[in-house]
Amino acid sequence: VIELGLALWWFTIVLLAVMLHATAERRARLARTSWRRDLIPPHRLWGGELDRPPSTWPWARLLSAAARAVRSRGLPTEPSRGLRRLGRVGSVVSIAMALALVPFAGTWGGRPDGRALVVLDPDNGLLALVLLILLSDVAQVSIGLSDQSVWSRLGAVRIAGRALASIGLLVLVLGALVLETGSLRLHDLVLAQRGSFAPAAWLGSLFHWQGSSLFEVVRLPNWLALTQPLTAILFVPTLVLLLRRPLAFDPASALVGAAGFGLDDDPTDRWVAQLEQRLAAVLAASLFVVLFLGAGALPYVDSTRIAGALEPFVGEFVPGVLLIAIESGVFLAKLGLVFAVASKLRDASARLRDDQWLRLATRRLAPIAWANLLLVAALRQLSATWGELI
Amino acid sequence: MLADSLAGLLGNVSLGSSVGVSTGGWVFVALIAACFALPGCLVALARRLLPPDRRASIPLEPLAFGASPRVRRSPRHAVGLHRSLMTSVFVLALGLVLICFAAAIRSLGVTGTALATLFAGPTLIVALHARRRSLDS
Repeated sequence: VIELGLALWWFTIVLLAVMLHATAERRARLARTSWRRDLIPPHRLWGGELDRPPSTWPWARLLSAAARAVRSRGLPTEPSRGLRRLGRVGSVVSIAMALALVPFAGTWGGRPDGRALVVLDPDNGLLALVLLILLSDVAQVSIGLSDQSVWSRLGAVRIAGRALASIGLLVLVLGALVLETGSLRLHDLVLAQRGSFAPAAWLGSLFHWQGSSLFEVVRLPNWLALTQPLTAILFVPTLVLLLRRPLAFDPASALVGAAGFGLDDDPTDRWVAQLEQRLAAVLAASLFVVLFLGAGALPYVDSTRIAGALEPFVGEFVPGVLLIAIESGVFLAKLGLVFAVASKLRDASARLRDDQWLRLATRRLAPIAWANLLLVAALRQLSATWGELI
Repeated sequence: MLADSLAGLLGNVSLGSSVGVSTGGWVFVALIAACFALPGCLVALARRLLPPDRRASIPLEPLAFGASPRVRRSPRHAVGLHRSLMTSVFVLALGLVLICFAAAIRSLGVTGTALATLFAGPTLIVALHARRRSLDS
């Protein structure tokens, strides 16, 4: 029953996150054209587009989408239907399984030995995550290859190139996190980010004088984004390469669509493509929140204390549920923040061609990731030696 | 010394052995899959209620870089075919490497990764250092 409840609760959070992503993306898209009025298509002449039907009323858009879906559909001739269906199923299952690995909150009741609040909790979660992300990319490649369209095949080549260039980078980036926490389990990474640390405490231990305790006053949350900022920075382009899939009709990317989805303008295909794209974006943002922003934990607040203060009055169950609600809300707020920052970053940065992306990943980011891995190992060894000396 | 430290650190990583998906996991995957499939099923149901001439599919020619004989003789067509062939070869090779990797990790444990890193790391650094640089890098 607990497993089913967790699955339903996490499914609700994922749906809310998908809606959040859709809203943020629509707002960013409409805001992007508002400062260049000459770029807005003349609706009187064109009668609107698929993305922007003439009405802004949501129910009218829903009805028009339903009408488009039911009308006679165009089917490209000679598609490899079996491979395409297999690719779709593989893509959906791998993205869903990867989402199920995400530990959105801490433990039941905030206790260190409580049940982990995650749908799937394998001990080798990080390895499973890498394999599932790779499987989703392979599934997208197979979808692109199943179509006869040249554009789809070029989209498949794009995704294959990106996956080949960045999967090793992902392993190197995650290796630094594994060295820090000593575990391949995702939930252990979340637990390792509880509490806070004093970034200047080593200065106090260096100079033994009376005011050295002042260095302990400034404390930061123990998030890996703050303890390993370079790893966090490297993680962002890696996930962009692996999980961002601009479609043919994406006005922001202005690139040829990836892997055949939506190229024949079939509304059902379009629905599957957009939902897969949004779920991949939610997975990427969730992974950043879990691995670098402490999942649903409130900074500077010990959830064990909240539960402990309430337990004498209302028992054990109510504080546990309350903590899940609070941490889920905090998780969603952090997701929204990541979406907003990612949108601003996308607006502020240039669009790279695929060869530029691959060059950046293989010639710049991969050596930096190697150096980061060795740096983390050296720092851990140094801090252990330093602790023994003190 | 640093390499020894890295090996020691990796040796401390606990490698679990639990594999398998719980009921909650399957329920979650099924719910996500239902989100994908539900609109398509509803549309198919609605289309079955329409008269046959209204729901007939329209066959489309696949998109291409043009359909003229001149374009069909274009070298880009061969390039596209070659790229798709190379993609499938690379993806297949990658899959084979990953299967071997998973099997090796399972039998040797994470310390095997440490030893492999000790072997591959210096080789990679020497190869990167000695590679022939292009003019603009």
